Amino acid sequence: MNQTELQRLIKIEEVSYQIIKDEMKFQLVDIEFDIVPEQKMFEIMAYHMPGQIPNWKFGRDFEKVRTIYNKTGSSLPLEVVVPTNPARAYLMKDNSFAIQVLVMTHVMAHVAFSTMNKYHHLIDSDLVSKLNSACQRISDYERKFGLNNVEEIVDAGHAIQFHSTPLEREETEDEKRLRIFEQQKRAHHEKKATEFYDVINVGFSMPGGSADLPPVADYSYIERELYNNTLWNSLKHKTPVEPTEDLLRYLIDNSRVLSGWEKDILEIIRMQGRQYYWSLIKTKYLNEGFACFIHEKIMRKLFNMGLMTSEEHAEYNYSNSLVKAMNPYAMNPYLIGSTIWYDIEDRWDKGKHGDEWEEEPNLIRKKEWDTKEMKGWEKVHQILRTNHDWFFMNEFLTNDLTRDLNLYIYIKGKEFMAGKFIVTDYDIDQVRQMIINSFSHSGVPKIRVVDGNYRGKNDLLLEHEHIGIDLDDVYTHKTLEHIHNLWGNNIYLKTMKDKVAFSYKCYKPEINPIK
Amino acid sequence: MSIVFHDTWTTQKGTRDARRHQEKVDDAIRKNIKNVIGDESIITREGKKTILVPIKGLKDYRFTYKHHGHVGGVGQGEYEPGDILNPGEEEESAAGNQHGPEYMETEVDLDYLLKIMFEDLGLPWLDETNKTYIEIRKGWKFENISKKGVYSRIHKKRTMIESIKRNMALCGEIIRQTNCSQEEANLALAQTKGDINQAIDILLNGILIIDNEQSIIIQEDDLRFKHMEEDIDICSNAVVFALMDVSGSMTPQKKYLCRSLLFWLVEFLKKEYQNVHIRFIQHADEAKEVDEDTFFKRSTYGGTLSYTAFEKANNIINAEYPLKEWNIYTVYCSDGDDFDSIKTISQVEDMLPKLNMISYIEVREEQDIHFGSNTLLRYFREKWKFIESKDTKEGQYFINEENHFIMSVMKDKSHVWETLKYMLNINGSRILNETPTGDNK
Repeated sequence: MNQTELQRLIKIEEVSYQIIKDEMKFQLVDIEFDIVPEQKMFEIMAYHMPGQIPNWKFGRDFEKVRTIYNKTGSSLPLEVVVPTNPARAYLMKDNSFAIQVLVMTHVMAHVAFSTMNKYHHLIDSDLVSKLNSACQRISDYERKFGLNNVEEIVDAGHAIQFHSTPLEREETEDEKRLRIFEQQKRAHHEKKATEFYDVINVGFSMPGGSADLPPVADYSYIERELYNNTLWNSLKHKTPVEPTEDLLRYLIDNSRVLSGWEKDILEIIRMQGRQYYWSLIKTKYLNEGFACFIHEKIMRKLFNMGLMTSEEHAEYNYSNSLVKAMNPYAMNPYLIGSTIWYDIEDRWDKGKHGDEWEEEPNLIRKKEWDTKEMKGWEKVHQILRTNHDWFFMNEFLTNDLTRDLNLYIYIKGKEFMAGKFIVTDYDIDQVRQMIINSFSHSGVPKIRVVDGNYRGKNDLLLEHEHIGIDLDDVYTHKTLEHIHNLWGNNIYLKTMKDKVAFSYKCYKPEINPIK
Repeated sequence: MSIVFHDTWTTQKGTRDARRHQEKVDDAIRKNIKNVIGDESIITREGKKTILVPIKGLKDYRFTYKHHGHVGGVGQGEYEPGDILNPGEEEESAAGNQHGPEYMETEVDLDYLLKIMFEDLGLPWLDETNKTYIEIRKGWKFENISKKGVYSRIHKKRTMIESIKRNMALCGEIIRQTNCSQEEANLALAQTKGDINQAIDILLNGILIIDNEQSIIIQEDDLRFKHMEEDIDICSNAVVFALMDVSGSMTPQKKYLCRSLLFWLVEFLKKEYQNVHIRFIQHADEAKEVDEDTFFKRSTYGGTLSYTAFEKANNIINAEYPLKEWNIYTVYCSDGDDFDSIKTISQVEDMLPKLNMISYIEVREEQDIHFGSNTLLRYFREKWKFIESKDTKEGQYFINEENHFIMSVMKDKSHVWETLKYMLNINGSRILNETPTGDNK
């Protein structure tokens, strides 16, 4: 990239910023663009963000990105954006001008999304510097305790990284115990007090008015204390006090085998999963679709304003078509997301929503429905602020869209068709429903710690909330092995398999009894 | 808003972690060698230098649902119900998905695989002192460094070091004579282009130009040149006879096991020793010397006369490989079925003193009734004294240290690797210790 191109890029950056801010009425924080050599770009892509803690997995991805890039050629645009404040984004040095502009506008749309979406407000804006200091500590640990030991902990941490949500309260076991004690105590005593009240005032109370009257002090002090004691005793030894989804938190606080540095590493991984990945996973289709939707609009404007030449626009179109290519084996979030966004704008512009439109029996009239409502952009803003993937898919992936996008379910063939993937003949409703189901809990199975002292043997009992799809056998076993490393004792996981209750087990290696 | 241009921003973690991943892949291959080595496709591959190696456990495991990857999923495109997404392709095409099958397949260079497999192995009882050497030209190497030479082969680093050394010595002398600072001495030297007397003059008379940039002067005397020499490797001579029974009693499975073993042996020898001759002999009721390609692909049928193969090898040794100059190895694979075992034993007995090592590998199938009854293994054991050891997977290994005689029984693919390890152990201690495999029970 030479100086004139750089100047042009800065000019276009200003113009696009104006378009997003003034014409589209989005808010966005400042963005710092770094133009980096390609090797660095591959690294940032593989590591997802600067300051990522080192691990062999990212090294593998680094090689993968490099190979894919070398094989498919440079027309595939690569983008990395870190939604901190100010946001950081990276452009690749050797990209052509058209692709630089494409990536830049795409990144701006992402930043606008992060600035406005309520789930992205949960992202820790100071994450990168926290991670940087954590990296230094980890390299110390590697020297002190050996690379293999550190890797084992990091791998185990990564295995259950996504099982922590920022929506769950941060509190220790003791705080939680106290809270639950207070809650249950109050609930019990209030109920008791009203019972007494009812008995005493049975002749005087007005129907429905009892709640307004003050509780009676007669409820015996001894009885009260007695109940409190039994309640506290039952809670005292219960671990966890109530089932928790935050596996890492529970393991860090209660494991008997983890030492200080191991807990430190797990805390870092938990924080990253909770305050970064969670939001990104939760809004992947929404976010990528939005970025495509917006960058296409901006690119069209830039071309109309004469800021891009027609050759450059053609090159952009080719790259954009690669980004939005259909994949026979998987869903493409760029294509599906952006198609839904276009559809929303169109439908609310024409008033194609509400009962009246839905119940219109004449298909032609339904298709050509237009009330000139022009509320499309307003709706886009509203969805942008409040939605996440599941809402988005559930509400806006209509049967028509599913058909237009050529979505289908395929299965792996058996016997003589082994190794082949076959398209099923599920109807559009089933396909749509299955896609929506796959978005529940962002595709992360809901696993809870139920008992940390299962059968009184300090074993760990986990429970999977089954939503109709079984867990993957191999992956589950391997993940349980990781948890076993952190917990040190046997692990049980209750779930359903082939519609019957099933329990996965992971035992500690037994010491051979004398034969 | 800002755009910052970084021209040189090197990768930090990427290369390190990529290397670490490669180490883990190697480790996984090493653990999985038994399965790799028995893989039929490796021997039948034609001219291909890379092979697919299944690797276990290099994925990010987490709780996931079943419905992706290897069971099915959601796809996009203009397909009708019943269409096949990957006609004529194998499963690998879907490997781009996150959730593939348990095994990950990596393409590995055969040479690379050999390198990590046979790391500590070699030809045992190799006599490196008494047998004559052969010189192999490997190319050119930089050997000497001298003061004279061609400018294109100048050794920059050494020249710089010499120059700095000389400069420091001169500076020391100047400081001693004039009591100036190190910096001034350097400047003065630079100003006078290395002439020490003039430099002292300048310093004493105070005509030093301060803003002169400090630099190091290289004089004729400092120059150092690299010198090239021919790179010659000295090896001892060795010849390996690969003998194989291809008679009627050798079922495809048995032949496959033999070929597998000999294939890896040959590949290993070719890589590890530049100067090893490998002679291939097949026999049924008559021995025949064949080329490598035929040896691994073709077979005949008929009765079994093992001694013919040994006779053939013996004749070749007598004619072409004088014992003074050559280390001689013989590896014989058979199912132990021999019509004339007495002749075979006398033939082997005749050959034994000439050989650095003889190794006999007997292949058996589960349905073989004569389990160790009337096979060559038994006759050999009656004739010579062997120390027996077993491994956990029913492999049997025998050794006679005195005659350098090694025997092994192979029943299964996994024995191929164990046998190779047993045979090519150069440390001498042939105690079987099971390497941990990737299998989990």
